[in-house]
Amino acid sequence: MNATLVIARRELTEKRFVFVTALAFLALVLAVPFMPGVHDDERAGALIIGSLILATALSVGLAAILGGSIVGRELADGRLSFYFSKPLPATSIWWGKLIAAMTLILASFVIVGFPALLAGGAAALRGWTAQGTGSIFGFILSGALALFLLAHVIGTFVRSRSAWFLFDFSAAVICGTAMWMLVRALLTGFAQLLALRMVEAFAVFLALSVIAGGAWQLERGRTDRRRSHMELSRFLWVSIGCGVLIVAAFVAWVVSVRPGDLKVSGGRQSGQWAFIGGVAKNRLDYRAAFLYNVVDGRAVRLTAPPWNGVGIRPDLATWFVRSDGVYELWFARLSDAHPKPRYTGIAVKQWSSTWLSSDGLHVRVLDRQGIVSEYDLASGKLLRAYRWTRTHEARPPLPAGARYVVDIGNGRIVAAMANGSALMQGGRILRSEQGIWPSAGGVATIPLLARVGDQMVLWNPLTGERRAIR
Amino acid sequence: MTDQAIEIANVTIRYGTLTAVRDVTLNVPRGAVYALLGRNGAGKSSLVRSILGQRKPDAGAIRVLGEDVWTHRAALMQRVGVVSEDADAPPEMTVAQLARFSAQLYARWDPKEVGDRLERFEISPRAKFGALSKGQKKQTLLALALAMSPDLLILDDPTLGLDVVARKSLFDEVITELADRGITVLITTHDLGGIEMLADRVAIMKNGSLVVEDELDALKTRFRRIRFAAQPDGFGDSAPLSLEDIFIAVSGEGAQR
Repeated sequence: MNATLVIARRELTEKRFVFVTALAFLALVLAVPFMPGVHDDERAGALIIGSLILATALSVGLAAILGGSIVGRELADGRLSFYFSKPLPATSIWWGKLIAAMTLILASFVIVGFPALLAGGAAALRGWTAQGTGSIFGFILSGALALFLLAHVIGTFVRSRSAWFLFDFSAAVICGTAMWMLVRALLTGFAQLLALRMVEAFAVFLALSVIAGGAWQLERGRTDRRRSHMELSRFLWVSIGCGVLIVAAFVAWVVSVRPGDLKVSGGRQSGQWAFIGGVAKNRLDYRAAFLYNVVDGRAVRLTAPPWNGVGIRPDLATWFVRSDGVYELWFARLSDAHPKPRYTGIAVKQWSSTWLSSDGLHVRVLDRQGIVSEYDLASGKLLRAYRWTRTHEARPPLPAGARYVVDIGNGRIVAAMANGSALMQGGRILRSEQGIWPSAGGVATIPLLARVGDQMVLWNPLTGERRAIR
Repeated sequence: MTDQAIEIANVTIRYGTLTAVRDVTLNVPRGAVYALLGRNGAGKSSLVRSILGQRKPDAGAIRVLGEDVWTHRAALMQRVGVVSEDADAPPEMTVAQLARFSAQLYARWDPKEVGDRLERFEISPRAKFGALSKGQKKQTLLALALAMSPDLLILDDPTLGLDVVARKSLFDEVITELADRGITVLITTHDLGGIEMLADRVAIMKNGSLVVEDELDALKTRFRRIRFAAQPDGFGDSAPLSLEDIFIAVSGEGAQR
């Protein structure tokens, strides 16, 4: 520890000109309110803005310069041998340099940013950004730290002038692509918050990897710049590779949702099959959807939760999936022994509703401009298009002979027989648009999907029996 | 405790496809003044970097004062004084700051000794290291290296770029120190005249390999016999051989081709 502090103090002494620079910036900040063109009522605002901009610019610029020189330049200039010929552990050299660099960045930010706080910057920031001072300052300093670490890695790699750089570039492309695919898997399940948390956690892991990698680099590479590069590279890519594998395992667990894992669900049923979907347990905002056979419990996982345009009948289901800014129409033949989701090849640019033809061969898509396009479902070929009506709530008509209806008005599910008399009440629906839809006639013994509490259950409106989804 | 201050066994050092040091084995006995000679690019500095634990050999092992130098570098540096070839101390630090910095790191540190030696060298403690002449830089580093009472002193080309007076002053300082304390010295140098007065043993490297390694007197005897035998009339030149003669005989061959 003592050796670390000795190094830190020496580095701070060597770079004391940074404090002088910060004081010069401070003088500039204090001059901003009195510059020509700044009116009396604008002086406080000008001071706050000038202070924040210059504090950010200085700390971020300093982070880039210090990061690039902390090890890389000293290796290239052959100056690290000064430390290594002394009784100093490599880890002390790294931590001492790191502590000094962090102190310089933080101190320069505080010195130049201080007038902003004095002039009521906290309230101004809350008003401008709806964020507290802590989160804004935290964001800026986190960005400076990230830039510092990135500059350190690039500085080491570039200054070694080693062909190993090609390996680094390839590894960065591979890991970046892998991470993007993993994030995309979560976004496919509408898990924006979960994806953000995962990326944040990975960024922290990356930062820790670079910090630990710096100590490893100096311990194993010492004064040899090529070996130093190789050791940093080896440490980083092994740890990042492990990190990506851990993230992959996490994402694999997140997406391995079973119907029983759905917490808040919406459903739509026709005959034995139903669409069920919702947020999965313990997975923050990750959503999944299934075609679920309410009789035998079979489930078919949809590649992504339906965006809209869900259509289902006993032999066929259709739904839209959002992908790369367009809505792709998918379908599944429920009459097959093992129904599989298949892409129709039909992609539309807007939110749409669909109807299936009675023979199940054609699908009509109604877009928000009121244009109906009729496609051949199997081939995706456009058969015809015509103007119908401009509407945002286009829904197919209720099937004839409906036996069960949903009492949307008071949020409860009510079963009604054909003669119209109300018989039973079931679970509570979450929102009217996610409620239980009418089932076709002749299916009185088939359970309905209903929501009780946070769980989706199978509910028999005639007997009142409830069964958990498996 | 081993009798060797430095044990180098089958060490090879490579930089990419270039082999800087090839399968070198040598031992530096405790208390000896050991001269490691060789032309530029012979591999001396690479070997010294590895002896200092700054560069891991690609093959072989190096032990300094009985310890593996790669794994025990930090602890060993408490007992090893170094005057590096390229005077690597930060140029903006003053001599006094360098002394204060070093004082915090060494268990055995004698501030008076540094002050006395700097005074003898006529170097101001207030002078910035970067502003010193080459000779003064080496003298400063020598003063710092000796102030921690080293068991082993490594001088990597300490007289490079020094004038005759500075060279003599530096060697005189080392000789005095040796007489006082009997510490082991490993020195790489081109100053063959200067080292001839000091060295007990000599090793000469050529193209990364060790081509000669012996006690200086034995080496002179050996080369005198070779020269004698090489005379066509059987009457060899009886003039005494210098270290420079031996060095040229061993290292100069490549230059003539």
